[in-house]
Amino acid sequence: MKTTRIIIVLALLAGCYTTSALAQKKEDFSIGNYEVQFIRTGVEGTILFKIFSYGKNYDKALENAKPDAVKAVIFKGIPGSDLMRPMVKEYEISTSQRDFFEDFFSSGYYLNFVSISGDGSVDPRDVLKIKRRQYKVGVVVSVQKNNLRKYLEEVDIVKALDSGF
Amino acid sequence: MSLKIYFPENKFLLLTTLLIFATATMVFSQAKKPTIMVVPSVNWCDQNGYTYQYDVQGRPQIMPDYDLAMAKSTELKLVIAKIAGMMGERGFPLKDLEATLQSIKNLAAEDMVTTSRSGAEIRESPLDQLRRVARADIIMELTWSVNKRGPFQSVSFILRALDAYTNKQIAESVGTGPENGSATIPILLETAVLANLDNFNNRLQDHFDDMFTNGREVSLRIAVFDSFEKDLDSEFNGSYLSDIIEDWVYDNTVMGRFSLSNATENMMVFEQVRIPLFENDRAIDTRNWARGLSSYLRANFSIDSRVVMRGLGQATIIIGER
Repeated sequence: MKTTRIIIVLALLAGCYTTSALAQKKEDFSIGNYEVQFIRTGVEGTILFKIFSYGKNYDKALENAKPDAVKAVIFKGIPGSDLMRPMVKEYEISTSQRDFFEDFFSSGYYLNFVSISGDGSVDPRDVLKIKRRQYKVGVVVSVQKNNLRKYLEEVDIVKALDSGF
Repeated sequence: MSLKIYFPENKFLLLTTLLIFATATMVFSQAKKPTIMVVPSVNWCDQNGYTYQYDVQGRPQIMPDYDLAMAKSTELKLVIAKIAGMMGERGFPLKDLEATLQSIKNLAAEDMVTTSRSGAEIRESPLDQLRRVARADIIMELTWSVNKRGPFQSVSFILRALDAYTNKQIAESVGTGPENGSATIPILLETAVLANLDNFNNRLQDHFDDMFTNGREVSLRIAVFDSFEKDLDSEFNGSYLSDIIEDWVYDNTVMGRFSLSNATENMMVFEQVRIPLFENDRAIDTRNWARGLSSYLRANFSIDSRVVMRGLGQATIIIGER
């Protein structure tokens, strides 16, 4: 009897943990907090810019740089470049699209479209300690904007130029 | 029980029907795709000596000589090829200026030597001859200039999309690239194209979005043959002919959008006419739409008319004869 009670309590706890983990995962996707600085249009189909990401430590901030770079191209656009306008407007994202982006970023598929430019080293001047547990790190990234757009067109997130014709 | 047995089959049938319906809708509801062609601007042609002049009532007119420009300027060919490649990737293969010019020349040469067995030649009206020019529904007009400052060079680049029939600028991208002391002009030009085309396409997308929401913007001109015994101010069944036409246009435009910019007893000019892209699930263009008015006049008022087209966007209905 006691064993059964323990099992039930454990099952309930596991259930609560899974629910909260799922809720956490749902909350994980956001447009994010970062800044961008356009550098130049790269080789055909790519764009080169510096992204300043935030994290509780240096490594976490650096880890956020790649997803933030892809999010910047998709949701915010890069001021000063030929991608000033975002591919997707934040307020137009539907629930199904939000689910798509959750999977897109949590599965790591976005890594197909972004890379750290150069040898990956970070200029010490681009590492800032904002608060006790918040770092801001700037790193130059290259995003394959054409391939990214094509992929988003294929999955019906972005409208192709010739759609409707 | 029977529901459980038959449900999967019904579901399959339902899905199949939906799939067929969706496919049919997709196939039949495609709007007519406008053709796009890149041409150098008159300004660029003039700066580089690719123009010819002729007099119109004593005033010299400068016309771009596209043939000469394509034959002599490698840079022009490079820029056009680059833009064409990038537009092709976005699903809009461009109409090639050089190939179109060549095709026009070939057709003209073939027509000159084509005769029937009895010796008859191909009939061609003065209007047909006039229309034998390179045309597209959207013209991408290209201008660039090279700026020099000491050893440094940069390229200023202007790309405009003009609706060939409403003459409106529907997209543009303008910019001057960074100065460079070592890059050659072709490299600077290529960089300029790469740095400008996405913004340009965003604006083109806005134009297409507007078109799908508010209809295609076209213009309609009504003219009268001098053999027509009446005019647009004549009464038919108690209404002036001009009012009958205006009412039809109102009833057949998206949300009744149009402006009547000029009207006399002999002509009417409708501009900013927003025609629907589809009618009964069929893509329509200005010709189909204008033919509706022509048929309406014949069926209800026994008035014959002829519809003359200029591309997708401009129609003239000449009243009096067919």
